[in-house]
Amino acid sequence: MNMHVSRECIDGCLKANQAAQRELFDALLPYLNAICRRYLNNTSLRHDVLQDSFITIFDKIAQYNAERGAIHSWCSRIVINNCLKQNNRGKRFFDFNPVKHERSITPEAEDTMSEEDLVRFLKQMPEKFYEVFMLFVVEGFSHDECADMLGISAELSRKRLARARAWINEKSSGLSALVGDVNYIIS
Amino acid sequence: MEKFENEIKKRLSQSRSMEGLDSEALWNSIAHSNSTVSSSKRSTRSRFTWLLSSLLFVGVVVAYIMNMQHAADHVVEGKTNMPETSAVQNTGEGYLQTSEEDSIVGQATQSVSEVNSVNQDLTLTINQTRSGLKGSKHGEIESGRIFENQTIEQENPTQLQLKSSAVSISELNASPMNRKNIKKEKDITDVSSQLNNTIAAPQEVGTNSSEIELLQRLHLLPASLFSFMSKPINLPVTANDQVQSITQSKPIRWSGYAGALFVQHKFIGEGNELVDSLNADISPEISCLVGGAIRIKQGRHWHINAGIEYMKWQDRFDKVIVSDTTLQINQSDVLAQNIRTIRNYNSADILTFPLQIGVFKDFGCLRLGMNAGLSYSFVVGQNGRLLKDASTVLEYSQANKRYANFLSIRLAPSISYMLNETLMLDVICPVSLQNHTSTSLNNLASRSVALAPSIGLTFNY
Repeated sequence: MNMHVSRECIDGCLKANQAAQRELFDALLPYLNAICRRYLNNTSLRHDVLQDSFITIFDKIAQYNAERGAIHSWCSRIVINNCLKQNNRGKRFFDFNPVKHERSITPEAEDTMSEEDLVRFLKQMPEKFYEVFMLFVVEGFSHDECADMLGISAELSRKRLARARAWINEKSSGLSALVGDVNYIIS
Repeated sequence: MEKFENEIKKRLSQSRSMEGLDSEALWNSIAHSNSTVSSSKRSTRSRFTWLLSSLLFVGVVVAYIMNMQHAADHVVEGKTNMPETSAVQNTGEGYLQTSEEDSIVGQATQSVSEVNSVNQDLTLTINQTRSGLKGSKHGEIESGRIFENQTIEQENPTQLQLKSSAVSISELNASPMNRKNIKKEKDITDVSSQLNNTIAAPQEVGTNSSEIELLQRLHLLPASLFSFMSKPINLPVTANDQVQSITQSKPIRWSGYAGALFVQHKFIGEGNELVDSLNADISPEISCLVGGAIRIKQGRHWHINAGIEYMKWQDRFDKVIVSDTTLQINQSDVLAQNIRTIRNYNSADILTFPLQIGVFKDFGCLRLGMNAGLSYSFVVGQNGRLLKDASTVLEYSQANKRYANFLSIRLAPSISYMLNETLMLDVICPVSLQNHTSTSLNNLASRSVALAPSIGLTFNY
C-alpha cells in the first residue's frame, strides 16, 4: 500500500483543508492502524485512539518538520504515545484482564509466521519488556527516546530490552524456523 | 538474535492493516471532532480578546470615576477648611483678628511640618538617585550644601529643612534623569518657597492667599493617577484631622490574583437513579481562575471591593456502559457483555463579577483578612458530555446548556504580606457556593462549591 504523502497534501492540512486531511488520513490509516494493533492492550479501543491521534495530527501538523523525518514517522510517534497513554489509563481504572486466546504454535505449523502470530507471540512477554522491545527494535527509537516516551530512565530501557531478548531466547528454541528456513517450535 | 530482530522489524514495520476498522465511520467522527475543536479554538480566542477589552474598559471607567470623585473631594475640602481665610481674601483686608490669626498660623505650622516630612522623604530619594549618577561631583555639592545647612540651622531649623528641600528639588530639575518629574517638582519647589515666605512673615498669613494654594497643591502632590502612593506602613498619628486629610491621598487601591480552581458538583433529588449516577460519574478537575478587584470604599479595618474574574470550570465525566451481547464462538452463540467506557473532560468559561465587603487586621507586616459577598456569573461558553438518563450520554454546548448564569455566595479568607509601602503579596482562597437551576439538557438542579487557592498582589493597600 502506498504511503507517500505529497507536500501539497501537508500544506493543505496546514490550511485545515478537509480534502487534504482526508488524503492524509487515507494514506496513513492502514499503517497507523497496524501500530495500534501492536501497542494497544485492549484493541477494542483502537477506534478511539486513532480518532484522538488524527485530531492531534491535524491540530499539531504545524510542528512537523520535514527535514527531521517522514510524515508517517512523526504520526506514528503520536499514535504510539496515545496507545501507551491508553494502556496506562486502562491499568489505572480497570483491572481488565481479557482472556488470552493463546494459540500454541507447533512444529507442524506453517513454516513462516504471520504478522498476527508474531505479535501474539511477542505479546506473551511482560508488557514492560514488550513496549521497550517494540519501540527499540521495530520503530527504531533510541533508548533515550524510548525512555522519554515511557517515562523511565534510559538505563532502565536498556535493562528491559536485555530482559526482553532473554525472554525471547528462552521461549523460542527454534528461532531459525521463524525466519523461514526450517520448521520451528514455540510453546 | 540479530537476524531474528531484523526479521521482526522487516515484517512489522512494513505491516499495514485495515482489519476490523470502519474507515468511513472513523473519518466522520474525526471530521466532526476536528471542526468542533477548531471552532472552540476560535471562540476561545475571541472570548479572550473580549475579556481583555472588557477588563480594560472597566478599569478605565473606574479610574475615571475615582479621579472625578477625588477632584470633587479636593474642591470641597479646600473650601470648607479655610472659611476665615477665604473671607479675608474676598474682603481684601490686610490683617485678621488675633485669635483667628493664631489658629491659622497654627494650622499653617502643622501643614508646614507635614510638608517638611514629605519634602524630607523626597529630598532623601532625590539625593539617593543623584548620588548614583553624579558620583564625586555630587559629593562636593552635597558637602557644600551640608555646610551651608549647618550654618543656617542655628537660625531656624524649619526654614533650613524647607530650603534644603528647595535646593535639592531645583538641582533635580536640572538632572536629565528626572525630566519627566519636572512638573511635580516644580510644584513642590513653589510650595516650599511659599512656605518659606509664610514662615518668614507669619503676620501676613491672613492676607496671603498662598495657604489656599498651598493646601490645594499639597492635595495634588501625588498628581499622577496611576502612581503608587508612597505611604508609610504605620502612619504618624496627627492631632489635627485637617492635616491628616491632606496627607492621606486616595490612589486607586487594586489587586490582581490568579490560582487553581476546583469545583465539586452535587446534583439534587433524592431517590433518583440519574442523580446518583451523575454524582458518581462526575469528578472535579483542576482548572484556573484569574481576577482583579478595585476597592471602592475603605475604612480603618474594613473595605468594600468590586471585581471581575475569569474562571474555567472543568470536570471529568466517566461512564462505563455495560450492555449484553452475543458472541459466536466455535459456531455457537455465547452470551457476553459489551463494556464501553466514555470519558470526557467538560469545561465551562465563566465571567464573574463579585462585590464583597471585607475586614482586616494588621499584625506587623502581616495582614489577615476576610471578605464576604455576592457574585453574579455569566457562563460565556461551555461544552462537554453528561448523562441524559441512565444509559444516554448527551453532548452539551452553549446552545444546549448545562449551566445557566448563576448567583453565588462568596467567602474569601486571605493572608497578606506587606512587601513595601505600596505593594502587598496576597494569598487568597475564595470559596463560592452556587445553585444551578435545571436546564433543557438536564432537568435536575445542582449545587456546586468552587474553591480557588490563589496568589496575588495588592497595590496601594
